[in-house]
Parts: sequence; structure tokens; C-alpha cells
Amino acid sequence: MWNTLIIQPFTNVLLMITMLVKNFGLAIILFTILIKLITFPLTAKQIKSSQAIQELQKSPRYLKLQEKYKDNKEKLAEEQFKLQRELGVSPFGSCLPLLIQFPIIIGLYQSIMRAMASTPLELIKLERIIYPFLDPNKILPLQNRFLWMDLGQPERLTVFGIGIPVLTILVVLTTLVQSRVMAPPTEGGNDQSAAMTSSMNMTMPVVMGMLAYQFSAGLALYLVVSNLTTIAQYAAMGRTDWSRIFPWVKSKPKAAKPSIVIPDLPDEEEEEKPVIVEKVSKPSARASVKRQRPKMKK
Amino acid sequence: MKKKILRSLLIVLLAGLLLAGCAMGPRAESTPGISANSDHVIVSYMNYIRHLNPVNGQETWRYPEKSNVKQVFYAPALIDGENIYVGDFANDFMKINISGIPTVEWTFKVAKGWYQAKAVKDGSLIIVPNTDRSIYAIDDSNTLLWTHQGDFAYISEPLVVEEMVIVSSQDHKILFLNKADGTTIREIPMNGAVVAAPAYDPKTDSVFVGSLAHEFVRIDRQTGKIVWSYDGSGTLESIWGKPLIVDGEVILSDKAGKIVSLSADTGAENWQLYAGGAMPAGLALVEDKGFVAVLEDGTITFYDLTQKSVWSRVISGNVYSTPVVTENLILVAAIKGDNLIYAFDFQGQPVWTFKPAK
Repeated sequence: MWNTLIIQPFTNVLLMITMLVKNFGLAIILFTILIKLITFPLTAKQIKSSQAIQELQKSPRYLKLQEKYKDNKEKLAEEQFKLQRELGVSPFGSCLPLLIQFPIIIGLYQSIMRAMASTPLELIKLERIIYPFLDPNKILPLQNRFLWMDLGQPERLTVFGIGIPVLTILVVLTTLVQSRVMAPPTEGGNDQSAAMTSSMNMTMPVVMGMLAYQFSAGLALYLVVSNLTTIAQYAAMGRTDWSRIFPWVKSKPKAAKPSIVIPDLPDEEEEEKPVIVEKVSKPSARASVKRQRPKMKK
Repeated sequence: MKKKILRSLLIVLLAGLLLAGCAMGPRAESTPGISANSDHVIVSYMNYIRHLNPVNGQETWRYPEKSNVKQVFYAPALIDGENIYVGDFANDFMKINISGIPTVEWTFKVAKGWYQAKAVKDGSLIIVPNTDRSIYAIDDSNTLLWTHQGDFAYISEPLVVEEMVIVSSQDHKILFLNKADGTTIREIPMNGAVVAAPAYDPKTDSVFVGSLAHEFVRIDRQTGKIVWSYDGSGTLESIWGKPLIVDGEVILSDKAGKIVSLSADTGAENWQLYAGGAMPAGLALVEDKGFVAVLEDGTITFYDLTQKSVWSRVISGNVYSTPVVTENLILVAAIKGDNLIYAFDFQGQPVWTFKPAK
């Protein structure tokens, strides 16, 4: 099922690109970008949802709720849930697109690994999943030499007798930049999640670097291109604060439209009235935006 | 407090991942490499080379004593008296003395790729193909004599005939190299990648080999001319195994399980049969008796030389590598089965099985 629906079509598309461009390394690059472009709507949705949650968590209303119900976690959760419903924000909004993308990303990686068959057994398995309209005799074997690399072997650029793992260094750097780009700003967030984010930002580049160092250059190439495409997607959406990555850069991200408009906290007395709370809990985020819009003078 | 616990947990996770990262070996899926004679059965599989007693299949030693995750063996060892020559996926090729406790005599460390194919030895000359697109010639004291650089990984066993080294190339050709210096004598173009090892028939002084492009050819060794080509009127599938040569007859098998006997001289078809399923492994000759064909699903069939099925057995697991025949045993390696090695006598009686200890 997994093979038929994901691995086989992905591998065949990758092989078709290889046939067109006559270069497997270039095919990996184009295929990774293609898949990233196809999944971009999901990525965009995920970014927007995650930004909405971040904005909500930084809002005075949310912070006041935290302060007010700091000793009653059950009530706090209930009120936070109400607020999320009122604004049409769901914490799962960023998870679902990610979950849908997950099998695609795994399939992308597995199809690249499958196409880089380097043993007779792997070649047999690759030959079997090639669609009949693609002639395996014209495709196989794949030329896995790309620039100075052998895509089937761990990559090292030999300079004066020293093997420098250039792709590994690029994987570490791009993962670092990507995790910084993707990580939510910490100000206003809670300490625990900030610590978690900071640790993850340190851990991920190291782990990815280890993978790139040990595995074949084809995988490392895919990781670099994937990271760069993700960074480009974030930059294209105006979500990148380059000053967080390069401290000497002063620019802040483009003043993007806020994902949600959070109405001010009602007066204490009003909030106590259950009827009013019930009334404001229904409209969607769109309705909230409308309510906040000032009247235009003619 | 929570923050501290969280940080500690992440540090432990990071350390674990780093250790796991350091412990990673090459990632490749392959099949066990077996080589055997009346005294030794050598199995190259994953992190060990194992020596089995041919009588009972008991493991007598393994190399290295403690596994190293980066050292992975799939290439069959070349047995030469009390020495074996074998390469690994850590790009090392070794001569190991096996007269007692296995002792590494020397290690050839020039290659940058994996060793997947069995080496050949001609006098003191050792020819070994590597996936770094090179064929290396070394002498028995570990001196590099020459290197032949190609365009694709070399993954099949070469053939040495007089002054020539004949090698299958994935780059749609058969290479004839000068044994003295590795220079190309000639290249014979094929329609597809050649992954099967070539076979030599001294009677016709010809080389027989098939490719993935549904073709099987006879090449005259002296002139390099393709004397005849066989495609079974378009019914032949890709060829992965080395053909057998028996008294003026060449027997080949294709991936789909078709076994064909051709006249070595003319290429005329003597007979053909269907083995019953996919058969990526090649055929194994049992001298003067017949040959063994093993399907991917583990069905082993012994045919006599008139294509009559003599006996058939089914083993657990999938078979992708050509069986090995000794003076009295047929050895079959399987993956994803109950055992790694199955030994049968020529009457089809199971003699022993071997399963590596965990």
C-alpha cells in the first residue's frame, strides 16, 4: 500500500526527471523543490495557524487569563479553550497540515534512497518498481556522480589530502537557519517552551549533521535543498526575521497582516456576566475582524 | 526545576543521538556472500565473516571477534589455501590467514567505495572491483599494481583469461582489460547495464554474458566480435546471474524464471523451461549431475542435464544469491527466513542449517 501509493510514484517521477535532465544529482534537487512546491499550500496553512497561536499567546487577554486563573488550571484551560473558539484558532490547525506533509516527506526521502540502489539486491528491487512505460534499460544504472560527489557514498571534498565534509557543514548550517526561521519568537511565551525551542534549535542541526556525515551524499543533498526551500518559503511569506539569524542585520520581518484580531478584554464586571461571554463565544475570527474594523469616514 | 529536568532530558537525548550517530554503519541492503570448498564454508554477512564447519554447519570462528558497525561484509570471500581475500563496506580489502585464529595479514585501503563482488586471483595477481568505479590490481604483498577507472560502480566478479581481465560494466558494456597494466583492450557495447558476471568457454574461446536489456551474447575473446545474440524472440527478461557452460552447451536463466539451453557454438536453442517463479539468483552447476535453480520464494529445484526435474525443496526466506556447490554440498543463502544458510546433499536431503547467534 505504502509502496504503491507513495514510494513507487515518487521514485518513478524522480527517475523521469533524471531521464530529462540526465543527471541524478540535479534530479534530486528538482524533485525536492517540486515536492516542496506541491506541499506549499499545506506549509503556508501550517505557518499561518502557528502564527495565530503565537499571537494569541502573546495577547494581553491571554496573559491576563493566565494570571487570573494561575491557581486553577482546569478553569484556565476552559477559558483558554473558549478564547480559542471565539477567535477561531485551533491548536491543531498547525498540526494537521504537518501530519499530512509527514508521509510525503518520508516518501520523498525513501524514494531518493530507493533510486540510489547500490547493491544488486537494491537494483533488483528498483527495477521492479519502475513503471512499464519507463524503460529500465534506458534508466539503469543511474549516474550518481554529481560535481565532486558520489551520491551513493558519504560525501568528502578532498583538499590537500584532507576529506572535508562540505555537504555535512551545509546541512548543519541550513538546519540551524531553518530552525531559527521556523522557531516562534520567545518573548511573551512561557519559559518551558522557550527552553524546549532553544534546545531543539541546538539539537536538530547536530543530529542532521551526523546523518549527513554518515549516510550517502544523495541524502545530504536532499537535506540541504529541503532546508533551503523551506527557508525560501518562509522568506516568501514575509515571516523571516533575519536579525534573529544574523544579528548584524537590522531588518524585521515584513509587517504582515495579523492572523487574528484579538478583541480587548471585556471589563471585569461584564466578564462576570455569563450571558455576554456566551454571546461573544460564537462568532468566528472573521466576524471578530469585522467587529474591530473602524468605520470609514466619507 | 521543570526547566532543569527538561534540559537534562534533552542533553541525554542529544548524547544518545550522537552516540547512535557515531554507531551508524553503511546503510545498504544486500544478500549474504558465500564461498566454500571441502574444508571451509565462509559466509560474509552484515558485521561478520563467519567460518562454518562444512560437516555440521557449526560456526568455528568469526571475524572480527567484536563487531564494528562500520564494517559490513556482503562480498563473497576468495578462498586460496589457508588465506581468504575479502572486502567490506568500510572500503577495506583484506588478506586474512585462516589456518588458526583468523589473522589479518594486510589491508588494502586505497579504494573509496564498497566491495560487493568476489575478487579473483591469478598467480600472485589479485583483481578486485569496487563501487568507486575502479578495478584494482594488487599483488600478494599488498602493492597496488594498477587501477582501471570507469564510469559506474563495479559489482560483479571479474574473469581472468590468459592476458585479459574481463569485467561486466553497468555502463552498458563488457570490458576487456590488459592484465599487465589495466589498459582497455576493447569495450563491447551492450544494450543495457551488465550486472551478471561473464562466463568463459575454452572450447570456443568465447565469453558469454547477459544484460538487463533482455539479451544474451557470445563474444569472441580474440576479436571482440559478438558471434551471436539471443533474446528468445523477445521473451527473454533481464539477466542477473552468470551462465553455466557444460559440454558445448550454455545454460542461462532470466529474472522471470526462464531457463534456456543454447548451443555455445551457434546460439541455437536446445530447450527451455520455466522454473515456476521469479529467479534473480543464477544457476549453480553440480559437476556431471545437473544444476540447481533457486526461486526468490525459496523453492530449490535440482535439474539433470536433460532439463528433467530431479528433486525440489522449499526453504524459508527469500533467495537472491546464486547457490554455491562444493564436493558434496549445495549451499543456499536466504534472507528474511528461519535460517541464513541451508545445506543439502546432491540427493536433496537437508544436511544442516545455520542461523547466526544473536
